[in-house]
Amino acid sequence: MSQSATSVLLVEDTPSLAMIYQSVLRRAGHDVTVALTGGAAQTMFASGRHPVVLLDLMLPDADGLDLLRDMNAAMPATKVIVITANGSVDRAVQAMRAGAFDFLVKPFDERRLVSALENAFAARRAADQPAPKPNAHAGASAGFHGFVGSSAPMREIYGAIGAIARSTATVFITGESGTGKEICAQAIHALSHRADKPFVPLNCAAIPHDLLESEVFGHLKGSFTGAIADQKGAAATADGGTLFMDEICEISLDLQAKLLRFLQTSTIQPVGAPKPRKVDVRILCATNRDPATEVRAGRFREDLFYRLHVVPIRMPPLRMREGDAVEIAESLLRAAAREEGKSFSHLSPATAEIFRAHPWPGNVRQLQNVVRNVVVLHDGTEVTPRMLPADLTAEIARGPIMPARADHGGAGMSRTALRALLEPLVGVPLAELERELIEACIARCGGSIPRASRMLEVSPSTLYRKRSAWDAQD
Amino acid sequence: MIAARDADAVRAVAHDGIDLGVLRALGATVGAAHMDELLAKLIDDIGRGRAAITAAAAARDAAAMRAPTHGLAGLAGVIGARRLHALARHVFAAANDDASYGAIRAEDTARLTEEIDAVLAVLARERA
Repeated sequence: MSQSATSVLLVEDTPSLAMIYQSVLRRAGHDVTVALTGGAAQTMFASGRHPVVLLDLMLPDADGLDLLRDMNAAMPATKVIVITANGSVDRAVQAMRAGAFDFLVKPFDERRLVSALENAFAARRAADQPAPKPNAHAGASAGFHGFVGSSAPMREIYGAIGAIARSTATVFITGESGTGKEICAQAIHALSHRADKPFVPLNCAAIPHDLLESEVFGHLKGSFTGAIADQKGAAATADGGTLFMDEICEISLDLQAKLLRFLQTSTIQPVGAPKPRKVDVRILCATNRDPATEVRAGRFREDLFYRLHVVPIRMPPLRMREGDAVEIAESLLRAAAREEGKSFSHLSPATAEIFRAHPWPGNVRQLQNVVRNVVVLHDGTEVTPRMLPADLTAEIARGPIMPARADHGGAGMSRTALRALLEPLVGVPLAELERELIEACIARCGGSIPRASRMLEVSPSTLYRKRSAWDAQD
Repeated sequence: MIAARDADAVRAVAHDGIDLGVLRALGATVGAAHMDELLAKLIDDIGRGRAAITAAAAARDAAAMRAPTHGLAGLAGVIGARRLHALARHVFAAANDDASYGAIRAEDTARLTEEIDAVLAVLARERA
């Protein structure tokens, strides 16, 4: 059996697409064999000539995932890149868990295809070398790459991060403030093949709109008033590594257009530069807003949303992470005590019960502030309820004002809290509120109307009918 | 000033739902000598998808609707047929949501086949 160093088995059942991919890959210097069916793919794969396989997951005579598993079992060193037209995270995670090296969601551009192939060949060549070192943040007590918590929702998050980290796909992280979106991004980077290259975080909300473009793409000296020196820009700094754009929904429509072009072409053009240059950057982004609502409101470009939303990860709020509040609090307590020279080591049973029952509307960040406050202002080994800050005890007494959440279903929210949430919306037409709520629930359910209908306690046909009517209006 | 060829492309996007700029870029990828072969394959693939969708709709068979809509969504996205891409994804999602075909609306499959016809017409014109 001989393997050409650049030989690719392309498994694609649509002849026109096979022809296009084959042309792109041949131009990039690869020797391509095409299989139009799962059966043909099995026969050709058995020849052992292909170190890399491009595999469409939906085939007329076979399930692509089964084929993937068979290929991995027969020749584990082979790198399989899966292709799908369905960008669901479940499918992508299933494929990565089944051993896919990467996945591409149609339509993808030529550069993305070639880049995925080059990464696969590089990984194939480096197969005997040791894997990237574990994350520096992952201390003995830090749990999974900077996260603390062993609740079921977090175990799912760890699994998803582990599965998608080595892909080059864009990841869109959503979640309330304080749920650990940046830690999630760092974990993805740390587990990726880019771990030894830069991780560049950029908080889009913290940078004035008129400076954001040069922060992302850089500028040349003299290109505008105040440009007293060349600036490289976050995208160029992250070349070879990962660019994390936090609060992505805060960027202007004008910059969104430039970001879309960057994603489509993998080129950047610093302000004042005469021509663009290529960079190799994986984009991770995050927001605490509902991106689908931002798209419908016209504040976020739909085409950019779909480019970014290849793999969505929804960070669960602390109130959904059963038992994690106490685990996190004790971990934070020991760290804060070390830093402050105190001897705190644990929560009293009564404090632990309070922490378990409290919904923590500010999530881990709020918990962190409470722990720090206790450690700074008190002494002892055990945190008792009387040490808790007054604003927390007041919040517990009156019941917290919770962020609006579809998965909470409103059922756990007090009427007073619900009214406080709705107050700013008084005057908005009911039909508009209904549409926003329904679309937010559907987005939360990953686009599944049956799941959203269960959450809203209406029949699926009601949601289909309403959506159809809205489409007709639009 | 828009060149005549670009103006054609703009009209094509506006009226036929296919971006001829994207299609012609694919021509550059496969090479001018192979463009006719590519167009013929596209017409075959999309026509085959149309037949499968029509049959699945007539039989009200959600499972049979999945493969052709999935395939068409991918293909349409690659050739710049944006409306067809969106419609095929929509029907594919409905076919996945409800195995009993209840989520697939006749209006949507009708719009989908109309859009397929529009795209096929553009491809036939390009080939001529």
